[in-house]
Amino acid sequence: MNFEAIKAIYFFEMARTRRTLLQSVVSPVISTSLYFIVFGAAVGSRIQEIEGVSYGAFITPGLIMLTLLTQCIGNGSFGIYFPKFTGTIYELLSSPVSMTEIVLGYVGAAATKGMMIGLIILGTASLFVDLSIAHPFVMLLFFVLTAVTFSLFGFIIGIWAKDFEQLNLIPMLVIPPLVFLGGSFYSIDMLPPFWQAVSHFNPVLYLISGFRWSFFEIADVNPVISLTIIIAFLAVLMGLLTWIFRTGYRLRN
Amino acid sequence: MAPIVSVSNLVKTYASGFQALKDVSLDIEEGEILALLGPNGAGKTTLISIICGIVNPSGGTVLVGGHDVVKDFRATRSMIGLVPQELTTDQFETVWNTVSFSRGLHGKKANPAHIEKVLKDLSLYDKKDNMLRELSGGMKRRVLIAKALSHEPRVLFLDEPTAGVDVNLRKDMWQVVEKLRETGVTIILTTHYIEEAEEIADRVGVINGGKILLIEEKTALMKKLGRKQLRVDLTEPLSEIPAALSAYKLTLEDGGTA
Repeated sequence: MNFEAIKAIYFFEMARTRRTLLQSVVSPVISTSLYFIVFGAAVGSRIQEIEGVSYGAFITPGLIMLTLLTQCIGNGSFGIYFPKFTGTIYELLSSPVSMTEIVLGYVGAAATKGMMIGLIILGTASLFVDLSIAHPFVMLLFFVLTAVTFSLFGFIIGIWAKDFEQLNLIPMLVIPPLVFLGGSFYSIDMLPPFWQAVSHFNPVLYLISGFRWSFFEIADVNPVISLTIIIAFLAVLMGLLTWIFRTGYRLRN
Repeated sequence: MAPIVSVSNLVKTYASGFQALKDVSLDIEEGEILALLGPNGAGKTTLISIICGIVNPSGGTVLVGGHDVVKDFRATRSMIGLVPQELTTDQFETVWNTVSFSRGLHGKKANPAHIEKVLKDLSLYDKKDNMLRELSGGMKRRVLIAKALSHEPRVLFLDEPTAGVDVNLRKDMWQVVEKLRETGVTIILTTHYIEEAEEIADRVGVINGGKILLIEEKTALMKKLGRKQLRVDLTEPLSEIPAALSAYKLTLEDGGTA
């Protein structure tokens, strides 16, 4: 294992975050604060508690997931797409680095950045609402698994994307609707039966539900099922990545 | 002594069906400077890219230091430094960081003394804290060389190092290559310019249409290529060479019209 290379890629990517601190950290904090002001304070004050949890606290896990998914996909995809775009990918491909090591460096950095911002959002949320985490280890498990899985998803998008439009297609057009319709701001019990059934086809519902359970012990679906869904998605992505490495898809001609 | 790079029956066909390399074989000796001369699209960059691991071969084998470039890529790529044709750089990185990053990628522990030496040898040390976007084209080319030398390679590939640069910069680059030769690094460079090959190479290979047409010692090749032939077309045909020109080895062709 080429640990020096993993370290080099990881710290190179983390250095990019430091250079873009304002857009990387401050921007998600501001947008989350706005969510809390609009949904938590303005709208939330008119909504009664959901299963014994105040509305402001109820939406917190969903908001953290929204940020985590967006950040991890964005960082994972941009990290590998940018060298492809500038041409510096030649250096990665001609170095004594296996694809596994490349993934560990890029996905590790993307997941770290996503988790850092997720924790900042958690801290920001605690300024607005009273929060308690019923199962901290389960919360951490969901948090880390989601960060790694979606950073890997982003990495695959970065390899697949041929231009910036494709790069932004999934993070901008697919993820937000899935998060908003995945029970971030409501319990799916509030929906008519038909839309409840449709919601079960949304994979993000399971992430938010499981994550919320670790905070308040309330969930739309069994947390074990949520965990199984994340692990299954991770396994599918790893299978896809193995195929990409074997064929050199969009990396080596 | 076994060659440092050995290419045997190498074939590359791209997904489009274009055959970039057709049964290419060549050996490169340790310590020499080999110039691959050929026009655009001849297959020079494809050949280098396969040896360095950027492009997958369709057939044939490449050994570097006795190791197969596909099966034993860690060993081969550790020995190789590559300077690409395009000025591909991380514009917002500093010279020092980007060169150190390259060393790390090659599995080498940080060695500031070595990085400092490489930068000084390439007259880049006073620019070490500059971002790459602040450098001139010639300086960026030097940074790419510094990146390629950061992990102390035994073989250095320079893909058209002087393409699109002015005469002064070209001569400057030749001096850089000359300095590198003194360190014992094997250098393979591609070029369009025969005078460049003549100036710095020990051997010259001519590649065109995906085939190596010839590969010879520079001096032997220049003797061959250096011979000039003068053809004079006549307005009226001659039946024989005039007596006044008999001292020269002249022949009549095309019915005495040339």
